[in-house]
Amino acid sequence: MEKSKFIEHLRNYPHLYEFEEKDENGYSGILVKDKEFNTLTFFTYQAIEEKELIDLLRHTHHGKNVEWISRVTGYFSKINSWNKGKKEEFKDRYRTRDIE
Amino acid sequence: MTEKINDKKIEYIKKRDGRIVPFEKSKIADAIFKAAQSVGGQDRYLAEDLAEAVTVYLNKEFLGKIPTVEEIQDIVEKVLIKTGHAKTAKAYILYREKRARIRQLKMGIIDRNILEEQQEIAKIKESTDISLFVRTSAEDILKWDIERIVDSLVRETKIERNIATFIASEVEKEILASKVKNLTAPLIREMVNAKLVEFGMEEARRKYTRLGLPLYDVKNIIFSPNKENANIPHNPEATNLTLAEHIKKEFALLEVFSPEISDAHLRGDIHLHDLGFIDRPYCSGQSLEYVKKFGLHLPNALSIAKPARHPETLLAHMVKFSAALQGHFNGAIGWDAVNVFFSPFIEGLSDKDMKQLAQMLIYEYSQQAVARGGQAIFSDINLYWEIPEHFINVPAIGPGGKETGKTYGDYQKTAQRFVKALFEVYLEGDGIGRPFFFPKPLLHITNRFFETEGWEEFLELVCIVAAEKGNPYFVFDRDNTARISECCRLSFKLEASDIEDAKTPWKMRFSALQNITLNLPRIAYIAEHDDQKLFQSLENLMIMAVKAHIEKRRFIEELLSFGQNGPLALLSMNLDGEPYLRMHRVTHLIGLLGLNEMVQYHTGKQMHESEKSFKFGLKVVSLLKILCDRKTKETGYRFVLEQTPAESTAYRLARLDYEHYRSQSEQVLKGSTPDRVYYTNSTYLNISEALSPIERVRKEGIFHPLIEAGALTHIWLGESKPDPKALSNFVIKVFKNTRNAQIAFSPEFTSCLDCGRIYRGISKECPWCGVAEKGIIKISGEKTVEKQLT
Repeated sequence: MEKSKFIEHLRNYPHLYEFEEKDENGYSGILVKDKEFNTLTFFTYQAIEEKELIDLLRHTHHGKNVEWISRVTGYFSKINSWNKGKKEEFKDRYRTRDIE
Repeated sequence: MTEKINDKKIEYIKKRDGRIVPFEKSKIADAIFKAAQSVGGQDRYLAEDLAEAVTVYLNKEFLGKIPTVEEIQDIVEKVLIKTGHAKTAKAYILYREKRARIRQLKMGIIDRNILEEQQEIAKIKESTDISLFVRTSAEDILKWDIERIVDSLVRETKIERNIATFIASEVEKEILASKVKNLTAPLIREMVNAKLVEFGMEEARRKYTRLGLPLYDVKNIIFSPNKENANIPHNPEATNLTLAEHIKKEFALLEVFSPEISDAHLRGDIHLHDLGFIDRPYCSGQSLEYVKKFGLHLPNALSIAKPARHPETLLAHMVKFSAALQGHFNGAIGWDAVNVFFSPFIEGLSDKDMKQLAQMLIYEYSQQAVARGGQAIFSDINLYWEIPEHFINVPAIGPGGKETGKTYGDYQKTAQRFVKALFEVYLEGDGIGRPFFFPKPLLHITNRFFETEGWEEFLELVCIVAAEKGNPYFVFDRDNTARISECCRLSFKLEASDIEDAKTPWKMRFSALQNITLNLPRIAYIAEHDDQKLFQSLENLMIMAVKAHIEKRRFIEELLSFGQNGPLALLSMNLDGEPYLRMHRVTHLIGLLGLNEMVQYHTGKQMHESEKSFKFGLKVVSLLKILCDRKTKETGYRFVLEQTPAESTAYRLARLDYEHYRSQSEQVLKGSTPDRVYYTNSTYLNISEALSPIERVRKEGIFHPLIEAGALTHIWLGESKPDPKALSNFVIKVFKNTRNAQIAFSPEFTSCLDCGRIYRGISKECPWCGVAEKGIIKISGEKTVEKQLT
């Protein structure tokens, strides 16, 4: 994608990203801070030119854009939405290895 | 108080109106405490000590006489001053004066003060020439008019008009003195409330309460997700729900429940579930036959549908009715024998079409984010391999709501094909292979299950689903007990009268009106290792819970009394000679929480640690069961024990106990203090203990026959994936060798939202997406970056 379009996108979501244009290891590019995942990612201008927006943004997640799923009490649900007590219980649960 | 003083204590006092009434020390303590509070005092015990001092004084001064209220108040003043509580004394004197003024007003005496005040106000008004405007709640800006306050006070609190006028002028005086220019209706109301408090008009203040939230809280609710309920998404509809829940919760505690019950909830002795849904019953189980026979004919509906003729239409009716019901129940919407009741519509369907219908059913429930606050419908479908005994000879209802001429016993093969198709869909999971969250499939295992051809192969299919995705609940209906299960574990045990209902299966609709959970560990803290005290407190708590149930029941009955024109029109709809919600059949749930911690504190050991402690736990639950039965007899309403799901309760009550019973609760609380604590759910054994699955199922199952409204044992699988054959042997063993009522196997998953891959177990990163690519440098921590940047 065009570098300017990428910058425009980052600028539109100040709650999610901070960024600066700079040189890194001899390459020119953009350093992006993803506030949600607390990561820093450096994109060379060449990489930006070659990739689509969705791929670029995915790379700022460093693979951390995962959801954990388990049974809360009755139903399955996403663990990140559980209260602190339930999250603690989740850590404590004894997991069975063998069923006989 | 010593015996000696007891011998010659005063027994009666003379009220202002001349009536002689029994003397109550607590009333003196109340008055002193109120006065103390108005000057920042908070020590209720001190107020009681002072009231004791007043009593001693009274006993001396008025031996053999009956003191008047005024005389007692003089003594209170004296005692307060003598004991060095000058500030409180002053507040008390002021309070007396104010009460005297209200009394005068009540008698129609307009004292000079009021006249002077009114003249004073008139003067201020003339001299300042301000025109005050009020922003009202009805999106309007109105000119200040004191009569509006007077009118609303009279209307809402029923106090006499002259008193309302007096209170309103007091408020007006303050407003004029403050020179405020922009007034809002809520602000005025709070000022009026402050005046009502000042003049000791507590009841009027309660009635004049405004319910709502601070601006700051509303902003938080709109901007951040709700953590109280794991199933509520974060979107505008969800925010509406949260806001409405706040207000209805306050309403419930102020208006539906008595102060005694509300306080018990707020203290954490008991937990009143779903207060934000006060105007709905708790949960319900239904029969597809109702929809098949009557179509969709809902009160106030924009259109009415005749009974379905096609399976897809029946499915649409079922889902839409579920959504409508979810608006009227706060818990799960369960459906009985779904594969059996669908069968007259799908006889002879090709495998492909059968699977398609199964897929539609599951996707419809799992993707509808339409119910309360944009949540999915909390749905459960009960499934059978065999035709349940009580339906075998029942005439089947088919397309158009007409009997097909066959009985359900004739549809076994079709019902089996459909249930297989459903489990095949569960096995595939959603579009990216994740388990479906809704509807929860509940497979009933009965004695006849094992006598019905093909059960081995079918059980293995269900066990593959359990191992891969975790969805199925295995419900054990041993020896001809039949149940409808739903919610997190709730089940309705069918009794003789219900089996009679089975002949007209559309009548088989059940509901639990409310769930009230007992904070069991707290009872142990209070009993301090004294058995008798513990059992007595347990009984007292049960009496409290029963009272709470009846208060909620009265409220629902009142709503229902408006019938088709009322707020619960749907539950009053009468298509078969009785209202949809059959109040004479509802149950009242007594939930249990933290039995393990109760036993641990009381006996020194957790239930899995000692046989003696386990037996003590059993004794507690047996007593509760007896109490439930006794209360059922006494009141005529059905009380049954339930294993509370306790998603938020296990956390809330643990936190409250850590706050109020710290030294005791610290010894048994699970999790980590201060704020990541929890109690073990219901009657479960310690969740972290490495018990073998069969041992846990057997031991926990010993409690299950006592817990009529449903009990369950969880087997957490984590990332392990057991052999389905082993699982099915396990299920058979549990049915045959234990008394356990329900089991579920629960795996864990990590789902990557970027690439859509799903992994077994919990991992912090998606291994696939974590890999770097050319031209992209992933710099993980802040510090490394700083280094690279400098």
